[in-house]
Amino acid sequence: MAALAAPDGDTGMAYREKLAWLNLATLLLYPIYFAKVPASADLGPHQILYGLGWFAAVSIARLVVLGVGGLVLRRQTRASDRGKPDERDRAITHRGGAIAYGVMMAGFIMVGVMMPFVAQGWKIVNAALFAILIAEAVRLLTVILSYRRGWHG
Amino acid sequence: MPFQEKIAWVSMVGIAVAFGPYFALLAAYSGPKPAFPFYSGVLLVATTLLTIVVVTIGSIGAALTNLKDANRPEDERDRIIARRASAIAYAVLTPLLFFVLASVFLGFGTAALANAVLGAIVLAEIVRCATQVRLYRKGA
Repeated sequence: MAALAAPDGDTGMAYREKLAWLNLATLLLYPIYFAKVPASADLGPHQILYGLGWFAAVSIARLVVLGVGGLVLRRQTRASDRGKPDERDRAITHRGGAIAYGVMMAGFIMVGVMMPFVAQGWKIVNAALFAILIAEAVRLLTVILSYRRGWHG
Repeated sequence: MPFQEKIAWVSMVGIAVAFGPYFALLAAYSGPKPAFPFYSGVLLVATTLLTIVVVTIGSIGAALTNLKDANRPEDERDRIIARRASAIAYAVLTPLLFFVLASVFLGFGTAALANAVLGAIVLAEIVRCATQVRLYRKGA
């Protein structure tokens, strides 16, 4: 608690861990898209524009939150703490990507190789987007947990 | 050459040897009424089996050239290289999925979607193996 209440905004958390938390939090915007574009919708021209429009709107909102949040984090973090990624940062980033690659591969096989035979339209599109979301969430959680547990590669 | 690098070479060559002709045949015989799913399904099974055979034989050959190295457990450097290569392949695979989704919107159908996904997986795996080879060559 003392760390959270530090006057200079220092939470004792690595800068890149804060960025990963921010990134993870912005993924929570995507349920808006899934609520607005149900998998049951067909793929008529209007539905395509409607679905793409919602996806674009949510993605732009995410970028705005990431940009503003990134700026706030940058101002709150000492310049010395947000320098170039060191060996540990790189090892953690690669670890997150490597684990997410396996998740993405499994999602891809489900969505692209198995689903086309039992589903169509938005069901496939939404399942694919969900697979990307899950893989990204796994990547970011791996990064966060690696920093939390003091993983050094 | 380290054993893990040999395996990366074997996997890359195995995938290219098997899936290169698969996609070339699909492209050559894709007409207004492609013969999916039956003929493409048979071709896909044959291609997968060919990949397994080539990679298995290649791996056995690689192991026989230096049994001591093949029996050596994976060290820290191997793990770092494997993670780095997978992370790069992940960065390649994610945007590819968006291109694959475009095939749904453009109405290409089931066969095209399945093959687009397969193509993305093959490409990502080739990138992963090629990155491993490059990192071993560079002495990372």
